[in-house]
Amino acid sequence: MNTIRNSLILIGLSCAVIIAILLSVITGPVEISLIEILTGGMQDTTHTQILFDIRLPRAIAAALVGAGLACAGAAMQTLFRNDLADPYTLGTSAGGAVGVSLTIITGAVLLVPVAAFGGAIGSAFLVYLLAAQKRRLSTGNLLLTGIAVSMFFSSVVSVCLVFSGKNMHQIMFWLMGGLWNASWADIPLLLITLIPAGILALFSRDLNIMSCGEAETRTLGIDLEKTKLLLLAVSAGITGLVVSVSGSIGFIGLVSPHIMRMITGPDHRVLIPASLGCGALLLVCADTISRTWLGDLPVGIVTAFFGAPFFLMLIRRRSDI
Amino acid sequence: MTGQILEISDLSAGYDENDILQEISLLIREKSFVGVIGPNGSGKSTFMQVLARSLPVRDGDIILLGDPLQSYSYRDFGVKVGYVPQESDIKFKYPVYEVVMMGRNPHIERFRSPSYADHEAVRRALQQTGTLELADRPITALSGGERQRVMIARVLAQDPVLLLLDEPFAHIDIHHQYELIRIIRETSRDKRAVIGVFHDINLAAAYCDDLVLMHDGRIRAYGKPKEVLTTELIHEVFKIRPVIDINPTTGTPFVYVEEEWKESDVHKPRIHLISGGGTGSYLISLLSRSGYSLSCGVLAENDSDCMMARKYGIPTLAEPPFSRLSFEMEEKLAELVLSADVVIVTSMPVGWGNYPNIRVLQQIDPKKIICILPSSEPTIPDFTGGVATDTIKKLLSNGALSISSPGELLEILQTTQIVNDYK
Repeated sequence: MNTIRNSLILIGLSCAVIIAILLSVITGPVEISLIEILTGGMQDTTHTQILFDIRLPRAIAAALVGAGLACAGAAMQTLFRNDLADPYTLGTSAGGAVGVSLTIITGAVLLVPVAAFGGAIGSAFLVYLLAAQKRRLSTGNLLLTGIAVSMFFSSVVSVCLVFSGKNMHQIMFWLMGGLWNASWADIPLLLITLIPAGILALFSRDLNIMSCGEAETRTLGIDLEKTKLLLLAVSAGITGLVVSVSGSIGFIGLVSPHIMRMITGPDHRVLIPASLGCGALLLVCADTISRTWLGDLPVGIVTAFFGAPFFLMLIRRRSDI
Repeated sequence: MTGQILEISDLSAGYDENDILQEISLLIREKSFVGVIGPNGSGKSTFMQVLARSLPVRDGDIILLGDPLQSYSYRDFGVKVGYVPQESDIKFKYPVYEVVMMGRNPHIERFRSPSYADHEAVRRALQQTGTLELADRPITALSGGERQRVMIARVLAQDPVLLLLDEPFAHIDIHHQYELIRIIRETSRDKRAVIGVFHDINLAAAYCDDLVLMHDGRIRAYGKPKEVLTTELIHEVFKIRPVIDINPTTGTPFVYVEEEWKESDVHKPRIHLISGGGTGSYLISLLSRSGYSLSCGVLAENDSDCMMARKYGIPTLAEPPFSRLSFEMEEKLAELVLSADVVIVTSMPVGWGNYPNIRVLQQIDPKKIICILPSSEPTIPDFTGGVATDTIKKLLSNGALSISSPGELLEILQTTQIVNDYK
C-alpha cells in the first residue's frame, strides 16, 4: 500500500523533473516556439545554439545541482539529528567562499572551481578534525564546530570583500550562487555526484536507524563511527562538487528534505530519491524564473525569496512534528 | 565453561576523566535473567551502555560467548546482543512496523530486502508485546508506555542471545508490565540471557534469577534475590530502613518501607516486650515505627511475633517451640528486662514452657511493668493452673499498670521518664 504510494510519488517526481527541464528549455528571454522545435524547422542557428548549448546544459546542471544539494541535505539532517542542518553545516559553503575569494583577488580566475571544491572539502575536514575527540564523534560537537568554522571563514571572506576592489561583485555573485556559466563541460562533473548520492541511498536503512537515536545503533548492527564518518564525507563530497559549479545556492538543501518528509514520511529508502527529485525540480524552476523574468538574478536569491514563504506555509499547515 | 554468555572481569569505564564503573566482575550464564538494581547514579545505565558498546571500556575485559566484545563486527554484535535504552526519542513518523523491523537489521544483508523470516519475526514480536494493532500507526503518535512496548518488540524481533534492558518498564502500566516481564523471562530460558535494570526491586526479586546490587559504580552484591535483599544491604545502599517480607504469591523477598519510620531515639524509653502467639505483632510494628528501641522475648522460633520482630530487625530472644527455657536464656532475659525502662506484657497464653517470661518480672520494679489486658476480662489465658495469673495479680497490686489498648500505651510512654541509663 505504502510502497505503491511511494513508487507513484517517485515516478511523478521524475516526470515532473523531465517536464520542468523541457519547459525550461523553451522558456527564456529569446522566444523559441515549441512548433519550431518539434518541426525541426530551426533554420536559425542562433536559436539552435541557445537551445542546445545554453539552455539545455543549464537546465540539466540546475537539476543535478538541486538534486545533489537536496540529498546531501537529507543525509545531514539525519546525521546531525537536527532539522536546521543543511549541506553547508560542515562549513562547506564558507570554506568554498574563502577559496573562491582568494583566487579572485589573486587573479587566478580560472582556478575558481578548483578553489571552491578544495575550500569546501578542506573546511569539512577541518571541522571534523576539530570536533573529533578520542575517536568518538559527537554530532553536537560537530554541529557547533561547523558553525564556528563557518563564522570564522565568513569573516575571512568579508576581509577579502573589503580588499577586493572592483572584483567585489564577482565574489558576491559566487556567494549568492548561480548557474550563469553552466555548460556541457560541467555536466560530467555533476554526474559524478550521482555516485555518492547512490551511496547515501544504499545506506538508507542505516540512516533510518541512526535517525531513531544513537544509543542502540551499535546493537542494531551498525558501526556508528565509521558509518557517520563515511556518510558525512560522502555528503561533503557532493556539496563540494556542486559548489564548485554553482557557488553556494542556499535553501534547496534545507527545504527539499523537509518537504518530502512531509509527503513520503521519514523512511530514507524513499526520502533520499524523493529529495533528489524535489531538489532538482525546485532548482530548475527557480533558475528558469530567474533568467526569464528577473534579469538573471543569482538563483540563490530566488530560491530563498520564493522558498522561504512557501516553506513557512508548509510548517504552519502540518499539525504535528 | 559451557553455557557461559558473558564474562566481565575488572571492568572500569566512564564518561570524562573519572571512572564511573570500577572493578566490575560478573559472570552471566545462559538461561539466566539477571536484574540490576541500585540507587540513582550508582552506574546501572552506564554499565548497560558499556555492554551495548555505546561507551568504551577503560580497563578490564568483557568476553561475550568466548570472544572479546571488541573483536565482534557490529553486524555480528547486533545478532548476539540487543539493547533497549532508557529513553528512546524517535521524533520521526516511522510506522511501528518499520521500527520493529529495524531490529532485524543485523540479520539483513545490505543489498537485500527483509525476508519472509524477518517479517515473521516482526509479526511475532508485535503479537507478543500486544502491539500488533499499532503496527501501522506512526511511532510518534503513541503514548510513552506503548512506545516502550514497541521498543521491547524490536529487541524481541532482533532475537539476540543477550538482551540488555535499561528500565524497560518505566512508563508501562502494571498489566503490561507483568505480561512483558514474563515474556522476557521466557525468552531468557532458551539458551539466552537477559540483563535488565529495574527500579522496582520487588518486580526484579519476583522474576529475576539473580540480582546485581550496584552502589557507587561497583557491584555491592550479586546472588539470589534472597541473598541480595537483606535489611543490612538495602539500608546501606538505598539509605532506607526496609522491611523485608515475603511475597506471598511468589515466595520471593518483598521489600517495603515503613511510612513513619523514625530512627530509634536514645531519649525515648527502652522497652522490652513479653508476648507470644501473635499478641505482640502489632505492638512490635507500632513501637519500632514510633522510634522506640525495643527488644523481644523469649519467643518461640515459629511464633508470628518472632517473625515480625525479625522483619523489623529487633533484638529478640528465641527458643525452639515447645521447649523449656534454658538457664542461659533466662539469664539473658533477666538482663534485658532489668535494662529496660518499660516492660510490656501482653495477654499471651502462658504455659510452663514460657512461664519464666512472667516469673522474671518479680525481679524488677513493678512500676516499670505495663500489662495490656482485654478490658472485658483483664486476665491472661493461663495454662499453668493459676500460677501465672497469681504472679500477674501480685504485680498489679504492687503498682504494675493495666491498660487495654495500644493507644493508651503510647500516651503513657510519652510521659515515661528514662530511669535506667544503660549503655
